[in-house]
Amino acid sequence: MHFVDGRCHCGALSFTYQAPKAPEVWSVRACQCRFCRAHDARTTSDPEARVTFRLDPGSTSRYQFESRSAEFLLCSCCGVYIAAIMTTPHGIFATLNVNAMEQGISTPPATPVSYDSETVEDRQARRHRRWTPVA
Amino acid sequence: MADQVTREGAGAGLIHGRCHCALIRFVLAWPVSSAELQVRKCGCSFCRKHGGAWTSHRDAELTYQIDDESRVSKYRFGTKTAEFYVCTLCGIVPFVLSEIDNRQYAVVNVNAFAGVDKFAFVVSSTDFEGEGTGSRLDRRKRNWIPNVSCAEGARACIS
Repeated sequence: MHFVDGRCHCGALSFTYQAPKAPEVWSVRACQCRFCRAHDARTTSDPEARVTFRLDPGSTSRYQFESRSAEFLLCSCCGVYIAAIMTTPHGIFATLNVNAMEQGISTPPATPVSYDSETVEDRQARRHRRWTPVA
Repeated sequence: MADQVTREGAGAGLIHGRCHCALIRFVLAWPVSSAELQVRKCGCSFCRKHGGAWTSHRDAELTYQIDDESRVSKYRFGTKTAEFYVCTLCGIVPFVLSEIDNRQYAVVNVNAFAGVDKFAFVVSSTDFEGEGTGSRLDRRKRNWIPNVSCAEGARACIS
C-alpha cells in the first residue's frame, strides 16, 4: 500500500491517499473543462484506494457549477483545488488533484479527457465506478 | 472599459479573462507590436499547486473589476511582497499584484484567459527561490505590467 499526503498551500485542507498501486502506474487525467483548465488540474482516482480528508470548515469552499453533481473542494484562503467529491446513498467518492500532493512522487503524464457529452446519469455512474471511496 | 471587462473574447490586442465564477474579471491590453506571449511556469510551491502560468509585458495594461471585495483573498507568502488575488469561491488566481515604490505591478495567469487564438504562447520554466527581496522587486519593476487600474464603474476596487 502506498500512502501519499496532499494539501493546499496554507495547509487548511489536507488529505491522505492510501493507494494499492505505486504513483508510477496511476491513471492521471487532465479534464478539459473550463474549471480544470483554469486550475491546470491533473486528477487521479482508484476505486480500490481510500482517501481521508482533513478540512478546516472556515477555509473550505465547496464550489459547484453546471450540473452541480459534484463538490469541488478548494481552499478559500490560498485557492488550491485539492479534490472533487460526489455524495451518494452508497457513500462519498473522490478524485484527487495530483498537483496538491507532496513533491517527489512520480506519476505518468496526464491524459486529456472531455466529459462534455455525458448525461448527468452517465457522469454519476462513471464516478461511482472510478472514483475513490472516502474513508 | 468597464463594459469591455464584462464581455468575453479578444478584441484587437485586448485579452479578456476571469476566474471561473466571474467574480474577478480583467482586460489585458497587449501591445500590438507583440504577437507572442512569454509564459512562465513557476516552480515554487504555490505555483506548482495552482499550475500557475504567468505573463507580463512592460507595454501592456491591466484593467480589472471585482464584484465583491469581501470574496477575494489577497494571499501572501514567502517574502510577502506580492498579493495573489484568489477567488474564495472558485479558487482561481487571475493575477498577482506587487506594490513597489507606490506603484502597482502585475502578472496575469494565462489559464484565466477567455480566448487568445491570435497569440502564440512561448512557455518557459522559472524558479526564483533563493532570490533576494531587493533583486526580486527590481526584476518585477523591469518585467511586470506597470500599468494597472481598476475598471471605471466597478463596485469594488482593491489596490
